[in-house]
Amino acid sequence: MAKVTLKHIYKTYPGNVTAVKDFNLEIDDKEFVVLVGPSGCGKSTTLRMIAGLEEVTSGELYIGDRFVNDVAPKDRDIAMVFQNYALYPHMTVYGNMAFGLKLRKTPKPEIDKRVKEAAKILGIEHLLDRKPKALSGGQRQRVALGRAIVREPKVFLMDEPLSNLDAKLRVQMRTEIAKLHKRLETTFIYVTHDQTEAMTMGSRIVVMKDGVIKQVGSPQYVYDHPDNLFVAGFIGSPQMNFINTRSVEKDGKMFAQFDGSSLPIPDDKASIIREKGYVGKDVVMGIRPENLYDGEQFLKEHPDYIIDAKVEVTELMGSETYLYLNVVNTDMIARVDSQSKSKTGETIKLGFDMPKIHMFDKETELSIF
Amino acid sequence: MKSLRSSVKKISEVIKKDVDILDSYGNIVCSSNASREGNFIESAEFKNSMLIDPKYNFYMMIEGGSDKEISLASMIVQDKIYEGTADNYQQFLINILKGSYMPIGSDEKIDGLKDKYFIAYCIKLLTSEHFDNAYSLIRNSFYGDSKKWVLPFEDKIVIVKEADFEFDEVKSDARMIKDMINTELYTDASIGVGNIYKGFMNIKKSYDEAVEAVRLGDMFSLPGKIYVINEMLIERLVSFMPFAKAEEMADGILKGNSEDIFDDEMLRTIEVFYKNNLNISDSSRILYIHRNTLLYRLEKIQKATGLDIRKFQDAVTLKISLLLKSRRQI
Ligand SMILES: Nc1ncnc2c1ncn2[C@@H]1O[C@H](COP(=O)(O)OP(=O)(O)OP(=O)(O)O)[C@@H](O)[C@H]1O
Ligand SMILES: [Mg+2]
Repeated sequence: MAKVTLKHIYKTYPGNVTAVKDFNLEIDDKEFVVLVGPSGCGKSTTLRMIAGLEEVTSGELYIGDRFVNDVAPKDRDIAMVFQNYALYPHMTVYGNMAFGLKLRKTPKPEIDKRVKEAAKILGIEHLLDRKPKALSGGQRQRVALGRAIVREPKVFLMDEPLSNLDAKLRVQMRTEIAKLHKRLETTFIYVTHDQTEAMTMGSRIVVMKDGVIKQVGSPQYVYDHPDNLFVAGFIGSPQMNFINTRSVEKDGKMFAQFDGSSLPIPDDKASIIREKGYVGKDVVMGIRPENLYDGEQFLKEHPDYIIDAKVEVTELMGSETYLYLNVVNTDMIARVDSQSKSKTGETIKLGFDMPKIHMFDKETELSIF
Repeated sequence: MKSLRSSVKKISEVIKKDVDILDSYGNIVCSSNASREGNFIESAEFKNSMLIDPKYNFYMMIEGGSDKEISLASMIVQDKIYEGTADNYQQFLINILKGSYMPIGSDEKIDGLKDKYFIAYCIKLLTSEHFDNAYSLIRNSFYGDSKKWVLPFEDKIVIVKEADFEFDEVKSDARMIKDMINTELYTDASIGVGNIYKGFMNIKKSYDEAVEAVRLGDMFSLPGKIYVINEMLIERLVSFMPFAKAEEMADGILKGNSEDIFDDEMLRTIEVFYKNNLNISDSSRILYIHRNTLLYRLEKIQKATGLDIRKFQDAVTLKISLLLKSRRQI
């Protein structure tokens, strides 16, 4: 059990690609942190530095209170689970889990104890004598996790461990890993490029782009209060809609104005715009697909939150419908009730739940609210 | 191998004659008289021998032995032979990699292998201290796979695979090995993959390419540490250029702009743009930037160098120029 601290960490690869820049993060003991971001943003590099598989170019790395920049990976009290693994085909599940410990010359009784404990935690005790070919996909994945558990590490490092699995098994294993974290009460650092995975697994997510942390927080907080345009767009699926608008004040009321239309901005948000000096300025307005409505009730209750929109495509997604819309020359997606009456090709009335909007500075892309 | 040797010795003590085990090429792979091991036996002398393993074509030979002695001895040895097969193949392959293998005996015996296709991977570990464990780990991962042979060779671990032109599988094998070395042994490795060639004598060619791929990967600091020679033609060509000339040529095209314009973000943009076949929409989606931002970056390159890398020709020119620049002296 240990916290992990990264202070001003940089990584420059030979050939001068700087993959991670000034990375600062304190991960608490027993926390489940997910590093998430688009391909190439430096997630794996960060994780591999914590593991010791890549050297830290500059900055300080601590596991617990120990400074570990120069500590060999095997002495860091970590265990890793990566995307590609193989089970040894001729060894039993027991043998597969014990193999790594045998290589490290762990005494036999100790190996036995650890393998049995891990099997119990993973619910695969009854499979210990089986060969891999007699296991299901999920059971194999559990054996792979078992190999890491028997090391009894203080920190688990996982780099996209589920991305080779089919969609159904992936969803199932997400829950299993989250449960495992609760049982083991150990620090987990998990890397994924999949924001849904990040949102459902971590107690805290670290959103990265171009080697830099863009925001850190609980999934819910980051979803509700994205710090910048990038995080706003990256977290959430379908992604947040963005419209270029100008904040205009008329008779003491604030409006978001765009291409001949305008929507009233609620008072509490209007005062932030005034305070921060954005009156009369161009800003980016953001609204999530679930905060757009085409139902009668919303339209009746909020007659001034409505704009015309052209329905380009509708897509039924189980309990809801996605509307792909063109709203004053901007493409938008609305997530509405599956009972929606909107049809492809129609022009509909689209309701904006204005208290839920976000605004971003057009230049700095930072959140205004 | 040990137990095979000891049973061969025991038989030899009883019948007072040398007992040899040969592979189908006439190599003595195991003998009651250790000094005979590694020698070749001309096919003409095969007459005192008996096929004891039809699968791998191993023979037992007793010079001057009677038929009865030979058939009795072969029964005793047959049980032990399987433990030795992997080692025998290893020696055969090592000789091929060394370039010291001489086919002897009748051609008929190696005809089967002549028509097959092979590919070699070379695994170079970050440090030698994990060599034995890595070797054991890889062998165990492929255990029972009759189309793959794993062997230690010099400071590398080599995998020879009977190829079926599935480069995807070759890559996924390599990724698996790398991840396993990372997670089980807590160390890193570079993996090179050669081309596919016909006939086992060309395994050396594939292996040499795998080694070259690793060298080139390090030279150009390519990400991922899995290097497939098949995908590295430009790097291969560039590596033959003298350094001064390379710099001169690159500077001519990049017009001394390389520091200001080609920063990390730009290099990453170019990498993704190339990987996605110069497709603007796909690249901007993967980079998570707006299409216009990508276009703006491409224009920036054009302003500085005159190269419009949305055009194939210019894309190739820039790719080569950047490689000329990024090569490290190693
Ligand atoms: N060994 C290396 N040598 C040079 N550059 C590298 C190396 N490894 C990674 N890079 C580069 O560093 C950057 C970050 O790579 P990294 O693998 O950390 O990204 P990632 O966020 O894990 O992406 P993905 O989601 O694709 O796995 C990329 O531009 C990559 O090309
Ligand atoms: Mg990665």
